[in-house]
Amino acid sequence: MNMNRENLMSKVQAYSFAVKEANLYLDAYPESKAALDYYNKYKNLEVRAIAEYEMRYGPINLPSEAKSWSWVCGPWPWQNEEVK
Amino acid sequence: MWQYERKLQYPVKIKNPNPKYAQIIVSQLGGPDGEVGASLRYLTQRFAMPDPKIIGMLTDIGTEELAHVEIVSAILYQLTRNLTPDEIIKSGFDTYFVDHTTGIYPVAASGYPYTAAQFQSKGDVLTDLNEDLAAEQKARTTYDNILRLVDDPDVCDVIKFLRAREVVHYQRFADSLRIAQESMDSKNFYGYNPAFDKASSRNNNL
Repeated sequence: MNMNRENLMSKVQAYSFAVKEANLYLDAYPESKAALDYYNKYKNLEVRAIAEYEMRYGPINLPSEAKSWSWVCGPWPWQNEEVK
Repeated sequence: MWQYERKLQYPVKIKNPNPKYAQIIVSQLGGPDGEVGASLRYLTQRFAMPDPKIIGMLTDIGTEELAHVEIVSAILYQLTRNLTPDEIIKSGFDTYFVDHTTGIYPVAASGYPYTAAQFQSKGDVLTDLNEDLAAEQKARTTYDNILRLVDDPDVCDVIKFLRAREVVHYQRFADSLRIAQESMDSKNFYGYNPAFDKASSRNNNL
């Protein structure tokens, strides 16, 4: 995995984690304005980082439109070697 | 990583509660051929699969099985609403009720709790895919048996959907088995262990 790919995946993971944290907090405190602002900020960053990653390196989520099917191309997330 | 989608894969709208039916259908949650076991089977087996296409199949079918866990649970929830103690005793649902009230808990119809002893993750392509083909047929037979015993159209409609998915999964696993066998060395067609023997898998000599 080249460094750019790894860096971009780290960004996706960090933003997704922030979104998950805000998600759980908001489940308990749905009225919190600060938590809503936090959620919106990181959800937006997550969506953009995922779009950039998917454009360069292949799908994270099922594609909204597909001209070819790269969903089943390796490597899968737990494979730290390059797979055909 | 997984995301929850706040919708059922297929609608569940049961007008008449029926605890006897719930006691039968709970087997497709936590029984020997139930949906909890199905999802765990595929989602564990995928790590040892050498072929990325088959990993995709196990991931996507295993994920759909989680949606089926939710559908079966929704059926059980709706079948056990507004029960009186009298109905609970007369229907035979009392043996479940005493331990779980109307909470959703994975057990077989016999009352035996869900156990991972009911499935395998063997780390071998042919072994695991053949188990998966059998598992889909066993689940299909169980849904057939439920359709033999249940006579409420609201329930049967959903059970027929789940049954049809078992048939489709069986076909997709048959495709997966064909894909796996096509990439194997014909001399080693039966005996090889391509998931473990990584060196041969790199040479495309499974």
